[in-house]
Amino acid sequence: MTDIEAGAFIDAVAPMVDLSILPEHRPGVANNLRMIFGQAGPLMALHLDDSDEIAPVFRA
Amino acid sequence: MTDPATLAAADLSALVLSGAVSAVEVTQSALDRVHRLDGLIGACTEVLDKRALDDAADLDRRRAQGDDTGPLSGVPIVVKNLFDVDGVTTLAGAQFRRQSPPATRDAAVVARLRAAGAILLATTNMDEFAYGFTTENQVFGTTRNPRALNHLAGGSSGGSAAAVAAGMAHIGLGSDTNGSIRVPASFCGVYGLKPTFGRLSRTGAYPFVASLDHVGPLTRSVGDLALAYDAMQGFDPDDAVCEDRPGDPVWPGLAALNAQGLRVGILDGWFQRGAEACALEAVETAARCLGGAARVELPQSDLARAAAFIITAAEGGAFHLENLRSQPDAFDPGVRDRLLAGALIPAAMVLQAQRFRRMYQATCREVFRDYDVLLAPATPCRALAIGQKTLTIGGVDMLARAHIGIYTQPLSFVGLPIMTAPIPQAEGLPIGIQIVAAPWREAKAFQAAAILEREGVAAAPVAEW
Repeated sequence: MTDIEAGAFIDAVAPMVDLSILPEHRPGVANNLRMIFGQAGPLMALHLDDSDEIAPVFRA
Repeated sequence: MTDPATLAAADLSALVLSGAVSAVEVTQSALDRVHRLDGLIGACTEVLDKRALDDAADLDRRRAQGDDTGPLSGVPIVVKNLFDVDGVTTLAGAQFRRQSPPATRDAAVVARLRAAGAILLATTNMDEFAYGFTTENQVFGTTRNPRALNHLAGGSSGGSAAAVAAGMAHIGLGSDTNGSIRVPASFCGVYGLKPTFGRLSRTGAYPFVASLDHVGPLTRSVGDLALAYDAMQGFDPDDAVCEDRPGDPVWPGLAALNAQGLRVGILDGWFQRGAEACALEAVETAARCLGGAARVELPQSDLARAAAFIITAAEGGAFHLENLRSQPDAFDPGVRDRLLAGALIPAAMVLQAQRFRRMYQATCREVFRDYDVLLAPATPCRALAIGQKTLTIGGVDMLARAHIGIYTQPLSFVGLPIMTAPIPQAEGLPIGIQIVAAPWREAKAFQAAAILEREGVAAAPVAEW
């Protein structure tokens, strides 16, 4: 995600969740978005099986 | 009277139960220590002198009447300021929560510790809303490491870890979403336990990331950790994820534990990369002591960390959305920017991360068919110096704060029970290792830790002044 893409993402999505990102907050938010999307890349490329459901119950 | 801070919780409680020393004397001694040291350390955010002394006097009265006052009678404790304490405002490290009304009852685990006789001395400092690994709080200040005051205590449960390391309390209560018990335990050189997800009630603990939040104790000995853990176990219908299963007390069998039959592995791959030599050597030393040195790979641990990172940001952002809309400048700037970005994450990313959790869980379950405990560094380095921005490991410069939780984050992602054991170094600060067990097998982590402590490999003395 480039700076321009991060800015465009903020402009498009923030109003959808009724968030106003103040100009002085934008660089920090954009930086965090770049980190999040960077982390998400390999994860989103992973093929999950149809049976891999959300289930936060842990057994030995 | 022997300095109560140097006694094990069980021995201190036995003295109180026998009447050899009063709970009031013990409490006053602990409060004196808090007032003498905390101006330098900054572990506590509110010291509850009157309440503590009243509780101690009440305990002494009940004991004199022949009541059973519990296995932690007179034992001083502190709790991270995200736990509800009756009559105290739950700050969660945040400036704008100062205006919130006081809690009207104790968090479930606080109530259980107090029912076991523990005396609550103070609430402790933390990263704002638990979103950090350093306990550098813009309102309540930076908690300093009692073992080297120019170093960080780690976070986000840094106040509780520092108070325990300094001998102010025997037990500190913390929370751990991505490593917030294990990181400060490593930096401050104390024991910390993050039990299985669903083992201990989170009722009355201010939430951060409901999918990943755990609570647990920090102490200076394995025995103290066992007593605290046992006192807090038990089903709580008010916590949506607390499992209704029998308790599994570890204190009664602790002294008899040995390494026989314990299958020990060292986590390889992700958990061997990006660490300073002392972190890896601490793991090797512990493995030798426990008689195991097999290398074990947990594939896709990089993705587990990424998924935990995404879930944390998204759930945190959603949880705080209302305040992010109405008063964004009331947040710590670093926390605010992470939460704002988290609130914008597409749903498909969050759900992919949550679904991957199931897959990684299956990977872990497979590994634990052959091992009882797996060892890994708790942190890639010893406590950072205050103001230190970068780390250089293997000739590579990296941002220190982003790197601290790399070994804790993938493992709590799937709810595994993990203990941090402090490994003293020949020179300088200690560093912690993680002892990781299969879900609901905390007892195996206690078994390993008890042996390390008995053999002198792990130790957490009161910090010297």
